[in-house]
Amino acid sequence: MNAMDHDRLKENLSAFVDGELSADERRELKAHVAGCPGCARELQELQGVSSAVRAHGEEHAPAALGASILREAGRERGSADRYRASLVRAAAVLAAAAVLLVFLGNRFKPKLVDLVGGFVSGWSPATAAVGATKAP
Amino acid sequence: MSKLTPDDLVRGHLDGVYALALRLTGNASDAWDLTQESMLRAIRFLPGFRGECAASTWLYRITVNTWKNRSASAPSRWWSRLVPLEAAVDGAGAAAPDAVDPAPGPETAAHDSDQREEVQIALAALPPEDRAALQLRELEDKSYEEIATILEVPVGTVKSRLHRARRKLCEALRQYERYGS
Ligand SMILES: [Zn+2]
Repeated sequence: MNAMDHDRLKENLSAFVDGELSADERRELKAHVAGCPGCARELQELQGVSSAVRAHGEEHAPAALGASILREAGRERGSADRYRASLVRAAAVLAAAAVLLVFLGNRFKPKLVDLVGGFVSGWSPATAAVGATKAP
Repeated sequence: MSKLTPDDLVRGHLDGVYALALRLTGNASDAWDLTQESMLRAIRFLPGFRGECAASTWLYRITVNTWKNRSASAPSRWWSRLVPLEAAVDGAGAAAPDAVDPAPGPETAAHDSDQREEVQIALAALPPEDRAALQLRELEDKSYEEIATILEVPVGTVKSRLHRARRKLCEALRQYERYGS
């Protein structure tokens, strides 16, 4: 075996510990480790380090952190609701304004017709002024 | 699948997100901030989560992303990552003899807490991404595929990163055996 092949096998030792090798790679590495004291020792060390981290690496969140997150999430949720409510209010105001415009438009249409009729029958400043102020 | 609530996320995954945040930032105060920001983002995104992967994988990915954004937007935080590392090493040196509970306890408890300290200090000396990969592998039992998803790197990178991290830990822990206690 040349040095490059050996390096490749050595690189696989960690993945072997993690059970992340294919069946073929596994078989190949097992056979090699059986006859290579250096890799056998390294494998043992890697397994030792793995179990040391498993045994001593655990961490727990501070007790107050969960409550703080849920409180903040509740606040965000509240302000999102308020924002939505204000959008709904703005939409309602716009809708009311639109209805009013349509209503006024219909209401003053006859006047507009009169106004146009006025142009035909004879223009006067008085009818023009009334039309101008009342037309929407 | 029933819908996850913010309560479910916090109840089921707070420790995992916090542990990952601690590995990424290297200190408790930044870990608190990162956990809070990541969890709040996850809660906001929750209606869009369809369960394509485990909830923890999804959460950890958000945590890593949030951490990347934070370090990109605040370069001064690079310093805060270095400072607690030194503090941890100094603190350990000073506290080592009295770190054990003053009450007379069994020998094994003392040995256990020494070993915990050694592992924590050795971990602190690794780059944040290596610590995160180890955390996800050893304590969360994530597969290489899942770790690759969470860290947004190829599976081959996960493999070599874990190998490198373990080799460095080996050396650090060997130093302790030689010079320590
Ligand atoms: Zn070998």
